[in-house]
Amino acid sequence: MSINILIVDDSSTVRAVIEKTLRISGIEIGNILHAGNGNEALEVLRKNWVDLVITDINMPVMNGVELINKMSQDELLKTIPIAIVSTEGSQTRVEELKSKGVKAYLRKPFTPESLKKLVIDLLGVSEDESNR
Amino acid sequence: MNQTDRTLIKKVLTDVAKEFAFMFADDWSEQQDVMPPYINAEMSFSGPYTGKAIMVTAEELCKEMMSNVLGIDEEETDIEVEPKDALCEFLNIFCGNFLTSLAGTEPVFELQPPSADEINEEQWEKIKQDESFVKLSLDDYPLYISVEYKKE
Repeated sequence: MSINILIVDDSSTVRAVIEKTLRISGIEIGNILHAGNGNEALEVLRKNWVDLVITDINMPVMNGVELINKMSQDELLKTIPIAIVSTEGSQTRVEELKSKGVKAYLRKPFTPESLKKLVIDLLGVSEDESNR
Repeated sequence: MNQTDRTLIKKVLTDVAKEFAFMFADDWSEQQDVMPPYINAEMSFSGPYTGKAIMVTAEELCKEMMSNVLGIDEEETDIEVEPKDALCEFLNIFCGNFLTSLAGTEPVFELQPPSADEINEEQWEKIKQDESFVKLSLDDYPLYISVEYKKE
């Protein structure tokens, strides 16, 4: 079964890198959706089925922390796994976000292998299945 | 900016350039120059330290950085990414890593999204002479960095 992923980052460079990494990872990916901030992400989530949200923290309009708060208060959206990919280096903040339901955290700059491992671990796909 | 900060900036920038853009930082040489357009990217941060980080370079470096990061040829046109966005993200990652190196992993910083604009040759020359900037060469392109901050 292919998975749909929403990438939330104000940098089009980062969104393109993450999409390219996922497309060549061997994981069966369906749609990859993009949003430039938390507000846009909520709009995408209202209109599309998404299996995983990968979000940055520092963004204009609505940042990643506000997005996570909104998702955790929504009956439908709170079940979607969230992973943070950010330049955030504060363990204090990472722990705070994990307490709000964030399942994984990857610090920029990241390697393609670490991003692939994050998605496989989060969605419970084995490495063999991901290469099928 | 003191010598400790300059050393830290060089170290963090060298690491981030290698890991993010597969580029190598080296000492800057006075003779080294590039053609315009030139790009100035900057972002502010607050927390235990409040301040601003600035990176200035030529658009040519931004293009090469973008193609390295995305693994594409510079001529490929189907990728909707502006070269200066690559510099903004490079600055963003540099800034986050610099602050962690400076203050450790406990404090929380608020980083404002970076922005980038073209600057003219006069502004470029002024920055080139400005002693407050750390000057490096990134894959043979000049890159000027400044981090100004104060402890809160």
